[in-house]
Amino acid sequence: MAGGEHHDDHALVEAARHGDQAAWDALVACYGSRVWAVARAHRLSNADAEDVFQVTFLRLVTHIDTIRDPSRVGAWLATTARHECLRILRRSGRVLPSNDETLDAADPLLPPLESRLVESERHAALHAALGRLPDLCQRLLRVLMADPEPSYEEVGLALDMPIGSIGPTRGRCLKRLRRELEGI
Amino acid sequence: MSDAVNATGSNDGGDQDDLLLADLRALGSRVDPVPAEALVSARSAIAWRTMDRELAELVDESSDARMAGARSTNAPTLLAFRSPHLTLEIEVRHTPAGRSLFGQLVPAQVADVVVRHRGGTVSAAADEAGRFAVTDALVAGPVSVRCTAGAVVVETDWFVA
Repeated sequence: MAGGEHHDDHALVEAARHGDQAAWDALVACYGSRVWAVARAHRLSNADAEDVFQVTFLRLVTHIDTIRDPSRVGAWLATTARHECLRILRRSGRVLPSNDETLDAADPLLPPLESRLVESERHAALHAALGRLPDLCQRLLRVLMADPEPSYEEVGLALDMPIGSIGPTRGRCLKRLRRELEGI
Repeated sequence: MSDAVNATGSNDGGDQDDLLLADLRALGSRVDPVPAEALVSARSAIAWRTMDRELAELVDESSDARMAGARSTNAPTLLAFRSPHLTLEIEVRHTPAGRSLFGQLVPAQVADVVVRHRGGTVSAAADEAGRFAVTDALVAGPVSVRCTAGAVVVETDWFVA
């Protein structure tokens, strides 16, 4: 799982430490979708999610010389993004998403579909089915939807879940999603 | 790996799961991609790389919103950053015109202050009591404060104001 990236990550961080723009762009390209997914999994609005995204990469710039293990930059970003999400939720007096309730979902996990964007009924069905899942499933699947897919370690850090529980929970949530799609 | 642990109980559950997740991934890329402007800003973040400064890390943060039980984003936020030479206490207030920032250097001392934010940079000066203020001038979003006091340059970690 994303194991092949680690040597690259080490090299990219090393190069970025020397101000290499191409290496930095590659890090943003690789991890941007994951950081965004972490913000969405905390049900942040566009504006708040953009702040989290921005501050997470700015903090990486600030800490890039002192990150102990550059090959684990993905884990560092997942942890930092989660902390920034929690800060924003705390500051606005919002409660943290609970792991076993369906929220009233003031802030949706995914933006509503615009009909012109829907390429297939499949996407519309997936979107609707995802919204009917328990909150934990919605949040876990939103993080796993990042492209490229995050490692289980990154997912665990992003959602404060034990790594060992990610696989089984993923399986359960996808099974439930499949049932929703089948209308059972 | 997922075959061993997923709960479908079927041999091909893992493959099915991977296919379903690939569908979800396509949906996510379609309806909720990282905004293009956010990517552009993140790529330019490397330009903020600085050296020859002490980093002041966030050591404490509190907001009145929680204490008041209010669902408000307008309550002032108090932050404390610490470096080996200097502690910066910063209060962020939200005003209709933008963010205001009130700072206190500990120990108190005169310093040149530069605040970096989404709209650029704003300069200020800490007085003999170590106090500085930047009022209504900051765009909401990531902020960092740099203080030059004599030979010591201290920079706070980025925070969302």
